[in-house]
Amino acid sequence: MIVVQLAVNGILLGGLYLLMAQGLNLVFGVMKIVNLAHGVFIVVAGLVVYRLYDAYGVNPLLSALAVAPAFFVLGALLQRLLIERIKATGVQGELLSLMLTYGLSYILINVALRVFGAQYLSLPYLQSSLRIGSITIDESRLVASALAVLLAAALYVWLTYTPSGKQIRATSQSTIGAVSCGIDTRRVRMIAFATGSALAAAAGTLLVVVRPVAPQLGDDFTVLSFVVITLGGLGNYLGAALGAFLLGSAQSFGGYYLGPSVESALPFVAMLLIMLIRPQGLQPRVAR
Amino acid sequence: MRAQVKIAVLAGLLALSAAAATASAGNTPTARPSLIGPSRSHGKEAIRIGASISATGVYASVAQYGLRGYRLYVDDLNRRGGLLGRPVQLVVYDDQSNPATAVRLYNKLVSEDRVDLIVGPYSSAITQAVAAVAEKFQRVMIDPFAAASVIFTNTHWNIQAIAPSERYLASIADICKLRGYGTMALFVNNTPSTAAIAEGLKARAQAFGIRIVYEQRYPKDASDFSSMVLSAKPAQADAIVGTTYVPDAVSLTRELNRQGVKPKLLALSIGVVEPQFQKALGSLANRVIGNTQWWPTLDRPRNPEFVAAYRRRYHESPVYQVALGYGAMQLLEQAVEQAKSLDQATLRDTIFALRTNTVAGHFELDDEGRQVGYKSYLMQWQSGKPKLVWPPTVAEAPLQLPYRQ
Repeated sequence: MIVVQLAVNGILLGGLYLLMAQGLNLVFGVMKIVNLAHGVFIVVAGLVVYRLYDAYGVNPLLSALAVAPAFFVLGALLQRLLIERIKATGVQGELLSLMLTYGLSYILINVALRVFGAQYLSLPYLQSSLRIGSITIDESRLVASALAVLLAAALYVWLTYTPSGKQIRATSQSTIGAVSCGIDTRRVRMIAFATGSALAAAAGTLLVVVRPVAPQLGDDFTVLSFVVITLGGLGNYLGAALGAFLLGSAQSFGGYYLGPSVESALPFVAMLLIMLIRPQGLQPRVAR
Repeated sequence: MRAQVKIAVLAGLLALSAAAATASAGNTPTARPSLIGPSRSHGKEAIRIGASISATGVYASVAQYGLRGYRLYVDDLNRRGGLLGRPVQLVVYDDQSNPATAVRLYNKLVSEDRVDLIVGPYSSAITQAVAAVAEKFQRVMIDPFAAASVIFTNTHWNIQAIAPSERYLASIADICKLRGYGTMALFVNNTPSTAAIAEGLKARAQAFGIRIVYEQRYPKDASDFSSMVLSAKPAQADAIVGTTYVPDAVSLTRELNRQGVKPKLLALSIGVVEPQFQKALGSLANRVIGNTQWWPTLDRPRNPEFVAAYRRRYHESPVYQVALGYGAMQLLEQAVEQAKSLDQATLRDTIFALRTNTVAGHFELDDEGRQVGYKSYLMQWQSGKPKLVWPPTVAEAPLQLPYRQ
């Protein structure tokens, strides 16, 4: 029975990871940019949700409906005003954008520290669990996982079946090809980055319910999300889901049988191993 | 394709270095010192007191309370005319919860900034590293946030101004004995201070014949307690004790509730008394016991003024870490005024001989600079309000137990 419980916990933890990593994956898939400010977006969205709850008693899931679109706009602006200005292409352009988002992360964390303080904040919401027989299912992580799967499915449908989604995939496969087909790639990049930011905000909304967050954790969440999408083979949507659930399960079982120190170290060990042995990720690059 | 793999590796390295940015404090905006008080007024040069306090990183949440204590007192001191007739200025850096950074900053404070006095950083782990700097430069350092007594063996210039960790939760054993709770499970955050809290409690519990049926150490940034609680559950301990900081205190309490673990007593150490603990957990916080070293109802010099000044400035009630920072400055003022000098050896001898009362308690040292006067108390959240519950002689409300039925 303990094995079933550990598996359930692992899947729920994986769901949370998928929720956190999805936006980063989309942005990398389309723009080949690892947004190092991704984790800060998650944290800041979470803290805004906390403030709305603390000051006005707004339900966190309800605030997500306002916070995620706000981050969509913010992401669009950042892309248009900052990232799009990098004219260099190829490896040099990717490096410059990496440095840009690194700096952005630094600034945002310090601004968030000024605005929200360094305190760890969390919300008393969805604190109990469902029980099926002797198995307990944590409500907050269940909601996070459900949202993760829902958003992943929506992303999949969008990218596969709609014209705008197809434009995004076309741009990610070949910018030159996309341009020559008359696709406005600038607009595509803006939509991708904006969507990525909105996805980060959605993750933040639930993260502040699941665990205490503080601005200084921003980089930790970036790293964690990065580990997940690396496991999945950067930019690969199915792979990211696989990576998230594998990492969650490994941590759940590892934490139980090998102890909490191993559990904390696992993401980094996993990343090192994947970089050394299989840098293309667990899944071959098929769909982007 | 190769280029993409390269980029991926580079991105990974950068991401990791972003997480480890703690090491590069010198270049961060928060590393600039923040100065409090006038540098020169009435034509007299200010006495400068230096410290590094975590404004970021794992300790930041609680460390900021300590800094508020320092600031509040220094502001008050300046209003009263300063020290030795000179204004006082605080020079504060952010050590980003990193001991190595703190060591660098204290070296800088003493040898580059040439501050007149230094006071301790937040946490035992950081003080342990920094203590050596004070010893090297032969500078008196009052350490109000270093509860692990081991730091003060073989030191000559470090002064413990906080109750030792070993005493934080020791009286939980007394409560268990009184109530007939015979078994205990321990979750131990693996830092010097929180490990010492667990040792202190274990020693007393074992002396009372209470069995430790589960013990697990975890890294200080652990956030997922599901596997730990799962493995602790079969032991069915009467009392569960966690030696925690804020985030793990919240996560552990939640996880116990989620998995339906119902101990008769739940006590956690650092973190429970902070208001954000109750805000994060709501009604789940009720009946959780935590430690404290200060309370507004305790009879201590300048306690009402301290509470009023804090409320005016921060619009909330102070927690004990504020009182410890404030108390350290009270000590420093007394010592300097008594010694009529900033000479470090004279100051040290004066402080070692001091037997005095501060907002943080009765101050008294043993020969090595360890605190023997300050006491530790227990508080409990009762219907959303923090109440002082132990020892019974000063309690404002009786203990509410069991924690869950």
